[in-house]
Amino acid sequence: MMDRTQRNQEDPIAAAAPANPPAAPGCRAISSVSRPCSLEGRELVVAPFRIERYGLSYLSTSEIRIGLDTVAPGTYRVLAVHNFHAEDCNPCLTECVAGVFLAARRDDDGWEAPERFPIECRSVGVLGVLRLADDSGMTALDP
Amino acid sequence: MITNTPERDFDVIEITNEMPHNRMGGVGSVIESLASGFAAIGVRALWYLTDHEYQPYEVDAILATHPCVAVGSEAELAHFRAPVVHIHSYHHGPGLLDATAGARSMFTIHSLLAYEEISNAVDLHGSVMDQERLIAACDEVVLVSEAERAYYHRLGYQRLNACVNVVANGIVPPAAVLARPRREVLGYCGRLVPRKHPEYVQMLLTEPGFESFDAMIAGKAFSAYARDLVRDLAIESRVRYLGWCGGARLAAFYDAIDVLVQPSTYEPFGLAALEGAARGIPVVCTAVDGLVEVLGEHAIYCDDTSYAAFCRAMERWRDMDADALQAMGSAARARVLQQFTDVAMARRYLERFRALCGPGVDTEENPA
Repeated sequence: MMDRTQRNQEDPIAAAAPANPPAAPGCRAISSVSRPCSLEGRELVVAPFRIERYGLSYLSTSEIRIGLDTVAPGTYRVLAVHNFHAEDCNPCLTECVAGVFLAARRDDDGWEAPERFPIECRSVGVLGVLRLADDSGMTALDP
Repeated sequence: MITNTPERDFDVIEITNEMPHNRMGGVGSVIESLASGFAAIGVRALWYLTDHEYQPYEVDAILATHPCVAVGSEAELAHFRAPVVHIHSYHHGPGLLDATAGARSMFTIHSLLAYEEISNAVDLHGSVMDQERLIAACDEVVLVSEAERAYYHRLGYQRLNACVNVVANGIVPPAAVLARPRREVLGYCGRLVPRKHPEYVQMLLTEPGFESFDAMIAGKAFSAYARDLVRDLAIESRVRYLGWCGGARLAAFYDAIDVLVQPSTYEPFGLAALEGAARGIPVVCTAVDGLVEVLGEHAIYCDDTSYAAFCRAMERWRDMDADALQAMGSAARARVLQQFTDVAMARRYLERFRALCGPGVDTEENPA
């Protein structure tokens, strides 16, 4: 699951930024963070981040908070993705809108891929690994 | 229901699920052009947003930035009156036209979903049925190209509704960028779906004579196929996926590319081709459907829809000199300005409204 369109602020995967960030006169600069994810109670908090890959910068300009109460127990990769659903009006073509996708570990030990329907977004980096236990257990985040 | 206008009587009620704000597809772009065109010729339209996916903060933004907008249910349409309702969206219950009793109804089909289903090899059965129901329920159907009209007949839809006309889309003319220094950047704009063959432009980067070129891809939806393709061809650093571009980013994309490629097997209209041609950008495309109607003789056409034919067309483009490219770009832009502006589209719709309703639709420009 992910903030597919960065629209649904009620979703467990919260919106990262306004759908149409204000057009910047030039390229925005945001510092990379070494540890973008943290847990606050039953919320996964992803700090603003910037990832350089494929010759582009993928930016999440706002803090993302993901409520975990409705996320099924299991192990998830916290993936940074290029969000292909939010309309991007930033004229700086070297910057792209990033979002966050929780990729579940599958029964065959592989991981869900955000590239597949219906998400159809591009994975650009792993921000962490989340282990969600059932009600009696603990939730953990790596690194 | 929430609205930003105290008025209740309009020339037309435009029913849409998409506004020019965080657009979901091409309909939002058409709505943007229709709004500016109607404003230019004095048609008073209500933009009625229903069956939409916008979040409350987006609805607030739409109401703050677009005049005469209402957001509500089908039943709440009854609060407004107009001689004609013009429908752009697909998923409506039987109550839609009940709520507009007394008004004539027109349904613009921006894409025949039965052909989307065939050309993209996806199951759209439920949506196809919804579209067919609406075709049968409305007084008039409008298609966006003559090619679409031919498909409409091929599907047997004239049995659902025989009153069908063509109204081509239009856009607000952008500034021309005719003197274009070659930067060896190929551009693709559109959804990344099978029928549009976005992979062609990426595969081309490995062909002889194109080793020094890069590609920019502007469009919605990535795929595992696209991920694997650029990795297997070792061109990840030469292909920039820009995502779903709008506004200033879309303009920057067009400013950055040497040529726009549209190798589609099915293209109801060709809005991206129109946007490129309007800027004087050379377009290499398949000779299908709306693309031919939009571009006329001012494009470099592939002999067929195969990749080999696309490569040959791209070689022809690459070998053209700057003067020939500029002449083609200028002619394409002139054609757009003559036939495919927002105002031209608005006038074509006004003509259809009058044919459907009589002279009840009057405007400041052309009082009935």
